[in-house]
Amino acid sequence: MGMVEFLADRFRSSISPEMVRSRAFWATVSAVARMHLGRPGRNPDAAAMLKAIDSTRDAYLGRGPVVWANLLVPSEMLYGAGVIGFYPEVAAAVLTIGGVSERFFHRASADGFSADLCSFHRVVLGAAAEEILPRPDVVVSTSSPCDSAPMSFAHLAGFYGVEHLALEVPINARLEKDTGILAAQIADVFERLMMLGGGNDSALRSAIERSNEAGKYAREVEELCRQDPCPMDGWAGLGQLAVIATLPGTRECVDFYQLLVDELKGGHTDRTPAKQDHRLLWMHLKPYFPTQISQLLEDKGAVIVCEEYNRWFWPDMDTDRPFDALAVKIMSHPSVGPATRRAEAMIRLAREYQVDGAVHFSHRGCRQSGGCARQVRDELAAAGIRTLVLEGECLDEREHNEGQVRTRLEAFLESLDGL
Amino acid sequence: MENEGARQAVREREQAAWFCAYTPVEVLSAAGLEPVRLFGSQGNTDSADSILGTNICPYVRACLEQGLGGSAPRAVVFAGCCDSMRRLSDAWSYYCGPEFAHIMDVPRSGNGVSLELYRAAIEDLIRALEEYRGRAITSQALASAILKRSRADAGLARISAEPHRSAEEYLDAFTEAQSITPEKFVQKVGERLRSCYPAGQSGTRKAVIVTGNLIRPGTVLEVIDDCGAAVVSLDLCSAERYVTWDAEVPLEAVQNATRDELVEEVARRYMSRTPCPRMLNKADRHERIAADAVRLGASGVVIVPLMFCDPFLYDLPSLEKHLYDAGIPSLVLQSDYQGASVGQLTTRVEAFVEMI
Repeated sequence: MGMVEFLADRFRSSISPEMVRSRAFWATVSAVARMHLGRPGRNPDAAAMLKAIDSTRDAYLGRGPVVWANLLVPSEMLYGAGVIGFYPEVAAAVLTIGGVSERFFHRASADGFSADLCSFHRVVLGAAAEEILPRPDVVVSTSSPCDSAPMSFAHLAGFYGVEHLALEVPINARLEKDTGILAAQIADVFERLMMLGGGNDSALRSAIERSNEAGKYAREVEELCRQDPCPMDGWAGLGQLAVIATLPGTRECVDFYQLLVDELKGGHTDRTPAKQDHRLLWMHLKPYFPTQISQLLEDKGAVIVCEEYNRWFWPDMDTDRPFDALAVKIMSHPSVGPATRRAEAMIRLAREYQVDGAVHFSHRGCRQSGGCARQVRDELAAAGIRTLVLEGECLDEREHNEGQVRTRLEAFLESLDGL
Repeated sequence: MENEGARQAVREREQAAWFCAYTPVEVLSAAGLEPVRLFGSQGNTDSADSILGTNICPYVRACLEQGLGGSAPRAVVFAGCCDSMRRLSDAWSYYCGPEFAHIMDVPRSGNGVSLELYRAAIEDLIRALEEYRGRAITSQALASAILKRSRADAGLARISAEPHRSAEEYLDAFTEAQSITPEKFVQKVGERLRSCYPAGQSGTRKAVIVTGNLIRPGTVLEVIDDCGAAVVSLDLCSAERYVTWDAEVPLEAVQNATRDELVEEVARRYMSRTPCPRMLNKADRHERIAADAVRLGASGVVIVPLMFCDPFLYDLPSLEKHLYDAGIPSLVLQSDYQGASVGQLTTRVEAFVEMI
C-alpha cells in the first residue's frame, strides 16, 4: 500500500460524527476540492461541486434549517423556501465513491434492515444511525419513483423525531389531469418549509427562473450529445446526477451547464471518448464503486450518448404558476407513471440520439425499475432497439459480480458489432 | 364440456380480479361485477419470474403467473399500493391482454389529504368502470354494495370475536369472504360460527398474534397450529386488515345519500382501517399491535413479512423495537409465500412457543 492509499484508508476509518461536524474538516474538504478542481469560473465541475460542498457543510454545521429530500423533490422548492436541502440518496453515492459505505451496510444490517432493501437507503439508514449525516429539521419525500424513499424517510423521521412531509405523486402521472392534485400538495409543503427557512414566493420565482436558465444550457449539452461523434462520455455524466437533482434553482447550476457547453463547443475537453463505434442509451443508474465497466465500454468503443436519469427531463417552468410547474417537473420523470410510458420515453431518446443499443442497469434492490426491465426491453425490441438488461448493484460492492457483468456486457457489445 | 367452457367464460367476464386490500370492492359490485381476490398460482412462478425478476414480491409473482396461465377474470383492478403492485399492473396489461385493467392511487399518509386523494381515485375508478360496462354506476347500486359489504364485514367481526379452533380455519373465513359475493358469505357466517369453540372453551394453548402481508393456507399458520399456539389476531391484508370494523351500516344511512356522499363513505371506511405497513402513520400501527397483544392476552407476536416487501421490511426494525420495549416477545419468519422450508419454520416456531 502506497502512502496516499494508506492516508486515504486512515481517513476513511477515522470518519466520526464529531469530525463531520467540525469547521476544520469542512475547511480541509473545501481547500482540497479547490486545489483539485481549479477555479469555479472556468471549470464546470468546480462550479457545481464547490456549491454542493458549501451546502453540505452548512447542513452539518447547522447554519440553517436542514430539509432531507429524495431525488424527485424539486430543489427549486427548497431554495425558494430558504432551507438547506440535503439529498441522502446522493450522499449515499458520495459515501460509496469515498469508499466508506461498507460500515453503514453493517450498521443497517445490525439494526435489523434486510439486505434485500435498496443499498442507497441501507447506507442512509446505517449512516444516520452512526450519526454521520446532518440532522434534519424536517424530511420531505415523493411517493415516486419508489417505495424506498417514503418508507425509509418515515423510519428516519421517527428516529430523529421530526416531521415527515409526504408528496403523493399520482400513479398514472397524467399531466393534464393530475397536475392540480400534486401542485396543491407542493404548495402546502412549500408553505411549511417557507415558515422554517424564511423564504418567500419571490425567492421561489427566482429559483425557477434560474432553473429555466440552466435548462437552456443543459438542453444545449444534450443537443451536442446527439451529434456523432458524441463530445461527452455519458458514464462520467452519470456521476453528475447530483447536479441535476440538487442544484437546479441556483446560479451554480447555470454556471455548470453554461461552462460545459463552452467546453464541449470549444473542443478543448478530455470528456470526448476517442473511439466511438457504438452509441448507447443507459437506463437507470450505475455502480458507484470502482468497476471495470467504463474501461470495457472504452475498449469496445461504446459511448453512452444519453441517459435516463442524468437528463433535463422536464419542460421550461412557468414562474407565474410555480406549483403547477414543479408538479409537472416531478411527473415528467420517466420513472413516474406506468412502465409503458417509461418505455415510450426511452424509445424517443433512442431515436433522437440514434443509438445502436440500450443497456438497462437493474439495481438489485430496486423493484420499481428492475420490475419493469423486461417489459421495457421488450417494448424497445419491438421498436427495433437492441437492449441488454444488466443485473447489478449500485452501492454494495459485496453484491457485485464483476465477471458476470463483464461477460454479459461484452457479449452484448459484440452483438452490436454485427449491426 | 363446451357449454361448461362457455359458462366459465361468461362467469369470468362478469368477475373482476383484485389484489390489494385497499381496492374498494363495493365499487366493482356496484358496476355489476363480482369482485374476486386473486391469491396467485401455487408452486413455481417461472414465467412471471422471467418478466418481473425474482427479487420482487412473491405474491405479485404468483398472481402474474396466474394471469399468464389464463385462469383469471378479464377485468382486473390494481391498487397502486407499492412498487411491486405497480409493476404487476404494468406486466398484466402488457403480457396478459386483459379486457379491462385499471390501477388506482392509494395515498399513504392516512390524513385529510389522503382521504381527498383516495376519494378522487375512487371517482376515477367509477368513470373507468362506467366506460367499460357501458352503464352508469347509480347511487342505489353503490348504496346496495356498501350495505352488503358492511354485512359481510359484520359477519367477519362476529367470527373474529369467537375463539377459533385453528388459525388455518380462521384464515379460511377471510379467504372465502374475498372469493365469493358478500350475500353468499353472509349466508355462511352461521356455519362458520358453529365451528368455533363454544364460549369459555378455547383450550389452554398459548395465544399469539400474527402480523404480516398474506399467508397461504398450509404454510406458516399450519405450523403455528401444529406447534400448539392459538392465533388470537390475524393482522394480514388477506385477513383482519381486509375488514372495516365499523358497526354495520344501517340502511337509512345510505338509502337517500347522493353518489358523492357514498363515495366519501367508501373512502372514509378504507382510509380509517387498520393500516398496512405501507401507510406512513407507523406509530399508530405499532401501538395498536402492542395494545392488541395486551387486550387479547397474547404472549407473543409472530411477524411474517413477505420477502422483498419493501414497505414491511423498512418498518420491521421499528415494529420489533416497539414490541421489545413493550415487553412483548416477537419472532420474524420471512415468507416466500409458497411455503417452502416448512421444516425449518417448525423448529423456530416450536422454540418460540416454548420460550413464551
